[in-house]
Amino acid sequence: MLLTLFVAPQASACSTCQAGDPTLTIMGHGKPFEGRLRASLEFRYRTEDIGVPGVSSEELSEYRTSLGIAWTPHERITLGLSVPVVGKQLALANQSEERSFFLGDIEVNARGFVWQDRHAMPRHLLGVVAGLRVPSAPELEDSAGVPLSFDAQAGNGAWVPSAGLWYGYFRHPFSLYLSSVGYFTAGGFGAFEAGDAWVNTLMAQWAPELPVALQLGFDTRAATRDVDAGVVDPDSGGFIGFLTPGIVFSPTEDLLLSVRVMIPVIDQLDGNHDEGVSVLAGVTYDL
Amino acid sequence: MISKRNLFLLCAILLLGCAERDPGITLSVEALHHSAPDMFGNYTDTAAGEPRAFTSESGYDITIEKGYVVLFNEELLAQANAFDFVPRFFQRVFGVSDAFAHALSSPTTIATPQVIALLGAERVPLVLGELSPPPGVYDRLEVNVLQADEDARDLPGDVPGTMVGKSLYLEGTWQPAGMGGAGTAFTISTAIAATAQLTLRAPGGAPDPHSLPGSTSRVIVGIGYETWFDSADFMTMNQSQLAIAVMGEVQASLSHFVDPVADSE
Repeated sequence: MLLTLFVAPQASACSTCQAGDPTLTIMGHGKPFEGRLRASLEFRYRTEDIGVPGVSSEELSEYRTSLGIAWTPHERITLGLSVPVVGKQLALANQSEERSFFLGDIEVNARGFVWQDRHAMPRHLLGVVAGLRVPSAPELEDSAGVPLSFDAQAGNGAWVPSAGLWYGYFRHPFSLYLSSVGYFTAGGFGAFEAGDAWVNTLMAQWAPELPVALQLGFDTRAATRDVDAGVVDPDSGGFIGFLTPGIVFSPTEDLLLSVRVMIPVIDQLDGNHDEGVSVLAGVTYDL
Repeated sequence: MISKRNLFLLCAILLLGCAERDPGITLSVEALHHSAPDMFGNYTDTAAGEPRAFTSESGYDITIEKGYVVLFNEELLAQANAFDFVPRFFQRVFGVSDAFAHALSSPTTIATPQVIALLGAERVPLVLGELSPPPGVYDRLEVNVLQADEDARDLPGDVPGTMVGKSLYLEGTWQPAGMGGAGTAFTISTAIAATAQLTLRAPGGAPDPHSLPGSTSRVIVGIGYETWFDSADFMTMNQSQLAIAVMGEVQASLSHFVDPVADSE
């Protein structure tokens, strides 16, 4: 049913560079055992307002449901695949509205384990992460064959490689996860090219002996501005920081349910551009 | 009956994938050039490609053999009201700026420079672009005549050098009115800019602020070229003075074009 919901504002830049570590739900933040195969389903809702209200405003709502699978072929590497279905609703100041619902851009990720302080029950883990978002979503058109606005597209038509570092600290019942990843956009629908982004995640978790863990994170994104047909979009780019409380529940050994809320607390986005609270809910199951 | 929204939801449920658009408010902005109407509001159109011949108020018979003017951008302006200071206040205090610079397209601005060929077909509207303004009452259209850039549409190939960098280019002849015989050749080539605020009018000519959404779907910029030399005096003015005088008349010749004959049909 979640798949049927869509009413969303999202800025062009953010179809490329959403805040938050996209590998957290699909891969978790601990060290998996060799041969682990994990399936996940993540639902994400976000809103965004761009432009001068009542003049040039765009209100975007996005519902994104991603089906993911992660496999650990070797103790030092985990591979992930994420296939999103994206619903969007874009409302413009002239009372026009665009709606889309389609397969989004597929993303593949790899998380490598480079160093750990000891072989058994490590407290410190350090690694690298790399990914590639593929322009699998077609450019959507209305019934007259006119492409929808870039912000209403399910994907953005760009190749987006990413690379970064991550660090994990474990001291039961606490753990800490830190990642820093750069996203580099190449191309895009039409003459549009979203800005590059630098996305950071800091997440602390407290997991007592109960099947519940509490999380508190801080996610940031710093992005360069979008360019459309050689013209820089003044309402794109900048910096935003989210406070991200969350809860994880494990009713059985192989099943994890999680909910996180991303609350924008530092808004230094350029121009007339605001992002609202995002909600993420996920289910993972170890096969 | 299934509404469009429900149909869309149904489509989504079936995972077929959907994309649709409700257009909202749109306003086509077009331009045409025309001769001076007679006392009954009728126009005498000169065939495309033929020189334009007319007599100026300053007493010259003018024949234009080549003519181009650049409509650089057009902006729809809302009717002023008592609360206009509010956005200006926020802009000043909080640094909130308009989302679009003046040179960029916006929901109320078309920023695609268009070269108008004076020897083209008369009273045939040329679409400059489509606006998507928010609901409101609009009473003016600001038109900027500026130098053509490389991206200007319909750049002519018969302008010596190039039309890029010029806002107006005219070639033709002049002679004192009624003298007959061969005229004296002239060329006016200038980069002078001009801005005109056109009052939106009803078919009868009275000011008519347009409420949007409403029945209006287009606004036509009229260019009445037969007045362009009304302030020009070829015998006393140098080239620079002529260019200034003509551009002033070009600015004054722009209007919201409402054809009283066509619109009454």
